[in-house]
Order: sequence, then structure tokens, then C-alpha cells
Amino acid sequence: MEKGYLAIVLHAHLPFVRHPEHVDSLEENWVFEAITDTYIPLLFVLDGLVKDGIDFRLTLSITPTLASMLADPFLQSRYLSRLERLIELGKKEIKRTRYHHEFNILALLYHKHLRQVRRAFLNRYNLNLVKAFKRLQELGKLEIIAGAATHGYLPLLSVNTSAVRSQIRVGIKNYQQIFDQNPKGFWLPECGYYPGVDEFLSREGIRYTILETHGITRAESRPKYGVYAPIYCPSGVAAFGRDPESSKQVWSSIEGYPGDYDYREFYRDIAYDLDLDYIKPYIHRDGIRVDTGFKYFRITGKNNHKEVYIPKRADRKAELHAENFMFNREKQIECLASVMNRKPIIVAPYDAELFGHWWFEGPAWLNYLIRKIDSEQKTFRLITLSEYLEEYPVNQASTPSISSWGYKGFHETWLNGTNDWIYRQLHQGAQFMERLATDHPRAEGLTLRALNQAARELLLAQASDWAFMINSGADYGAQRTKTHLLRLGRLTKEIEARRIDEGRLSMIESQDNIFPQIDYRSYNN
Amino acid sequence: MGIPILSSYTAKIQDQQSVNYEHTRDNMDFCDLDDKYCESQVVLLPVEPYLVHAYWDVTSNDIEKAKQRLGDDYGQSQAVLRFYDVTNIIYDGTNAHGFFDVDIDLQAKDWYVNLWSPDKSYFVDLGFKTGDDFCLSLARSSVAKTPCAWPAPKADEYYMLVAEDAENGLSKIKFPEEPIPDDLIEAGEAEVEAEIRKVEPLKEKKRPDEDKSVRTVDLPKSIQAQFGERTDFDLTEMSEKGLALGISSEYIPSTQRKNDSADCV
Repeated sequence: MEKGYLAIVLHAHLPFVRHPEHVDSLEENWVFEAITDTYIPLLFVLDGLVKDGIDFRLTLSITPTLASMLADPFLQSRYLSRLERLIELGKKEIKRTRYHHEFNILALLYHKHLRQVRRAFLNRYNLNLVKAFKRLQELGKLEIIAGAATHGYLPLLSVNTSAVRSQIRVGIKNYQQIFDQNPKGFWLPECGYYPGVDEFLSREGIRYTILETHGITRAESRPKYGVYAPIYCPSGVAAFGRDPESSKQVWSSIEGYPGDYDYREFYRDIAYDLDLDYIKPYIHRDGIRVDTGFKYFRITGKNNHKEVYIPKRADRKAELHAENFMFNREKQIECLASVMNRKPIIVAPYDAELFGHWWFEGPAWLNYLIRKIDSEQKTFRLITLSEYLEEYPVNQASTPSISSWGYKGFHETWLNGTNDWIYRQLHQGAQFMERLATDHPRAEGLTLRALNQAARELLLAQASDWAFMINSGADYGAQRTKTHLLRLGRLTKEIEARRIDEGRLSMIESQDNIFPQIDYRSYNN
Repeated sequence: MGIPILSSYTAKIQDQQSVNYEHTRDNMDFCDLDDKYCESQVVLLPVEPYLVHAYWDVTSNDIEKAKQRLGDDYGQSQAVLRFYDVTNIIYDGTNAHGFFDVDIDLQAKDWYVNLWSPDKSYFVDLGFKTGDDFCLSLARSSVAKTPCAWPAPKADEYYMLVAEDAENGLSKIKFPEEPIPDDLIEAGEAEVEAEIRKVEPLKEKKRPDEDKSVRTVDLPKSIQAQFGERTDFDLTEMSEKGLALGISSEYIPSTQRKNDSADCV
């Protein structure tokens, strides 16, 4: 019998970047790249495991913003046309590299991959990837957990309880509509925890969440098992802590697998290397070079000299790294099991987009890992967090510590000299929404539409991604914060003056069309 | 925090996107939209164990009132944030552990304050201080808690059973100590039995009046662990040691930038 468990948790998230008002959108391309590089390759891996009868468990967080975009017909159709263009580029690349065998192999490989992706997207997944993940959940292999409506960073929104409550409630309602069941787990955006946030989760029926290591180790009463068993918050919600050891092996820029010299170099894309005339039809309409995914080099070393990517060698490395990861978990679990009165659980959460997008070989690594865990060892088994709670319903009671998985482990990434100005506006926006909800307990018709749209605008303004991007120096984050807050401000004014501009309302409803079922009354205290 | 896709693109957007967004910090003030609802306020937000951020708004009305109240002293007064330490207490208006003042520039509208001690709860009063320490309060924040910087010392542990309750959501039962899991007991019993069977042939050689209760069979290690005397593995300490805060955000697989490309295909 196994001595312990490993829970791999993938967090799939992108902010809501749907831009029908632009003919060509740089930001929508994030979604398209993630579909081609991560979500479909991940589905290929999981479908393959099911087909081969491999018993596995995986926990996946799909945020409401991402799920909404994946299910959106407008973005699906734009994705398909982007895919068509890249397949056309593939053909050109095969021709262009015909006298350079080693590059030609890669051009053929990418072209083939793109065509497989198109075929699967159209036929196997019927344009909607969320349904494909849902099917895997129904098979009992995947546990999909819920997330906050727009990935708002809850510790800094907690000045207004209605803001936190609505982020959580709208996110969970969205989950129920998409997955036809109640979620057991909830991904706190950026693993951002503060004492009390678990009360909101508990009220919505959530059983567990995942925190950064020190959220658990620095809990109010010292946890006996560190991060190798969950603790119960006062609300009864279980908090699992991230295992630092397995995280480091995958995430670390110094020791992590993805930095291996044999792996594909992310930054060398033909979009930046080739003549503008040649590449122009495949980049942004305004001539802004955006990734095409045709990347021909391997990481090679620390400096700028890069050598050609050799897929076979990289694949072998992925297998070796999977073996190494498994071996380390075996040793770790053996050691932990010998000093614990129960089977330890190793919780290993990662950003899903690391796999395939940044770390091209990530899906292959995961595939090797899951298969090897199934057939080459007996020390541990894969588990979902809810299965662990079923086995161990009694856990230590304690209050986790304020924490996040951001830089330095607290709130600094989302609150510093570059982005602190947004909080005054976000908090005031939440007050506006509370006031509107209190003043209009039973709105109808146009007022109802305006109130619901105001709630959408507030939620969209609250995405943690904007603060993160402002912190990284990207204007887009500031622009999005302001756009949504201005829309909220204007709607507030119009609703209170009883002069709603229906034309304008219809326009923003069609642009910011997330959460069609939203109920503004969740802001009523 | 992850968002690898975004982090890759923020750099690119910075490099390449030449879109001009006209909004500035100033024209985003909601008070412009709706000044009748704006009141003086101060908000306190924790950043990390040793740093907090405060922002405030003061209406011109309140400034006028302060001028009237302070009279001639207004010119010499200093705007301050008065921090009240209310760690682990319910504040009743008098029982704060103590307070300290931080001089601020009222026009700045926000301030960062370094602290010397983590894991505290504070609220602040925004006000004016004159030479004789009079503090006229314009606004009060709600309580902000700063994070812990190290694990709590060892103490008694409490356990909880949480189960789904069809009627009331989650049901919770508290335990003073960790129950021993059934499988561990079963495994232990099986091991004990095996040990007994091993020593059984020896029984014949023993005197029949021997007290069976003193039969010495070593308890299996897994059971021993429950009865103290084990090597003191501190798993919390172990997890803390492995912790490199914010490790995910430092993830950059390669330092190579695309514009350094030398050998094009």
C-alpha cells in the first residue's frame, strides 16, 4: 500500500481580454497562444492517459475569466482564423527551410502540431475546451476547482466585504453554471489569504483552498505536520500548503527543470528574427511583432549564443526530469511517512500556462510523470485534495497566516509605489456598488441591466492582473483599470439620475459580456 | 505569482506597443464624478510584516472646520497618522496597547510606514497635532493586521472533524488531540500479531505460571511514534527552511531577449 500522496494542482488563468472593438488585438493573442501551447496539449495528454487506462488524479483551477473566454463564440472564431494563418505560415516555413534540414524538421513538426490542434479544436472539442475539461471531471480523473470572479486580489479588496463576497459568489455561480455541480475547492487568486476570507468560502459550501507554504507554517497555532497535512480554518475550510521542495524543482529559474539547456528557447521566435516583409501577414496588423510559435533554438547556455533545438533530445530530458521528480517525491514521502501518524500529502501547485507555453516540454514531462507514477513505483499515489479530506476528515485546527505566492510572499506585487493608486478607486467603486444595490433592491428593465453591468465593470476593474501588469510597467493594466472604473462611475451617475443611455449601455454590454447571469444584489449588505 | 504569459508580454508591450492612453492618475478621481458623496477618510492596508500603506482624502469642509477648531495653532500644527496598537484585543475606546504618531504631508494623500514588529493589528487616526500633543481626528481607519514573519512557538494542538451536513452545510466537531487513524491501529495490530506468532514456539520452554502480560514484544515503529520518544522531526521548521518566498514570480527560464538575435535562420 502507498505511504503517501502527491496532489498536482494546475492553475489555469488569463484575465478577460476580449476586444471586439479592435480588428486585431495583442491581448487576445495571449488566449490563442495559451490554447495552442497549453490547454490543447494538456487535453491531449489527459485524453491519452484515459485512453490507455492509466489511473490518475489531477486538480485543475480554471478561472471564470478564462472559462468565459474559452466558451465565447467570438473568441473561438478569432482563434480559428489565427490558427489558419499560422498553418499557412507553417507551409511557408517548410518551403523556406527546405535546404536546412535541422530547421526543416522543426518547421514540419510545428506545422503538424498546428494541424492536429485545429482538427481537435474543431472535431474532438467542438470549439469549446471547457466542455472537454468538464468531461474529464465527470470521468473522475480531474477535479476542477472554482475561482474568484475576475481573479481579484482579495486581501487588498477586503476593505469592502461586499467586494470579497461578490468575487467569491459570482465565481462560484459561474462554476455551477458551467460544470453542473458544486465546487469542492476554491483557488484564492495569487494564493492571497487573510484571516476571515475562509468564512466567505465556507458560506458558499467550499471545502478547501490552497495556500503558499508560510500561510500554513506561520499559522496561529503551529501546525504539527508543516505543509504535509491540511489545517482547518475556524470556518471549517481546509487549507493545504504548497510544498516548497517540489515547487522549486519546477519553478526555480536556477534549479528548475524548465531552464535545462536542451529545452526549447522561449524568446527566439521567427517573429523577431525574420524580415518584416516576410513575417508581416502573421504578426499584429500594425506591424507589432508578436510570437508565432515557430521557435527553432534550444536554451543552449547562459549567453546569447543559441543552437538548434533537437526535439528528441529534449523529449529524453523531459523523461529524465520526470523520473527525477518522481524519485525525489518517493524519498520525500518515505521520510515524511516515517515521522507522521498518517499518510503525508505533497501539494504541488503550478501555473498551467508554464506547461507548454513557457516550458514547451512541460506537457511531455507531465505525461511521463503520471505514467511512471502509475507503473514504476509503489511509494505514493496521485490524489485530489477532496479525496485526501475524505480519508482524513480530522485535521488540526488553526488560523492560517496572511500570505500570497507573490514576490516576497505578501502583498507587495499588488501594492507598491507603481500601482497603489488603484485601491482608492477600487474601494470607492465597491462603495458605489453597495450604495446602488441598497438603493435599488428590486430593479427592473433598463435599470436592472445597468446595475448588472455596473457590477461587471467593478469586477473587471478588480482583476489582480492589472496591478501585476502596472507593476511590470505595462500600460494596458492601467488602461483596463481606468476603463472599467470610468464605466462604473458613469453608470452609477446615470442610474442615480435615472437617465440611462441605453445605446451606450448596449455597447458596453456587448464588449464586457462576462457573467450574463450576474445579480447585482450580491453587493447588498 | 505566476501569470507567465502575462509576464512575458508585459515586457513586449512595453517595448512595442505605442498606444497612448490619455488617462492619468488625476482624472480618475471619482470625486470629480460625484463629489456629494465624498467624505474625509483614511484607509490602512498591510503590505508585508514590516510595512503598511495608508491613503486618505480630506474634504475642504473638514479642513475649514479644523482651522476653526485649532484657531491660531493651525499654522503650527502637524498632520499625523496616529497608529493605535490593538493586537489581540477588541478596542473599547481606551484599551489600546499604545500609540505612535507618524508625521505626514496632508497633500501627499498616501504614505508608506515602516514598522519594527510583525503580526500586529493597528488602526489609524488621521489628524492634526499641535505642540501640546492635541490630536484632532478627521478620520479613522478600520483595523489592519500585518502578517507574521515566523512560525508560532510549539503549543497544544487542537483538532477538528469537518463533515458535510445536509441541513447546515459543514458540521464541525473539536477534539483535544489527534485521533489515531484506524488503518494505523490495524497495521500495528497486524504487526504485533505477527510478532506474537514469531515468539509463540518459545512459550513451551517457559514456565506455565509466567505472567503473559510481561511478554516483551517490541511495538512496531509506526505505533511507537504515537507514544512519544521519537526523534523530534519538526515539519513546520522543515517547510519553513525550504521556503523561498515568492519563488514562482522569479521564474524566467532564459535571459535571452529576442532583439539580441545573431544567427537568424
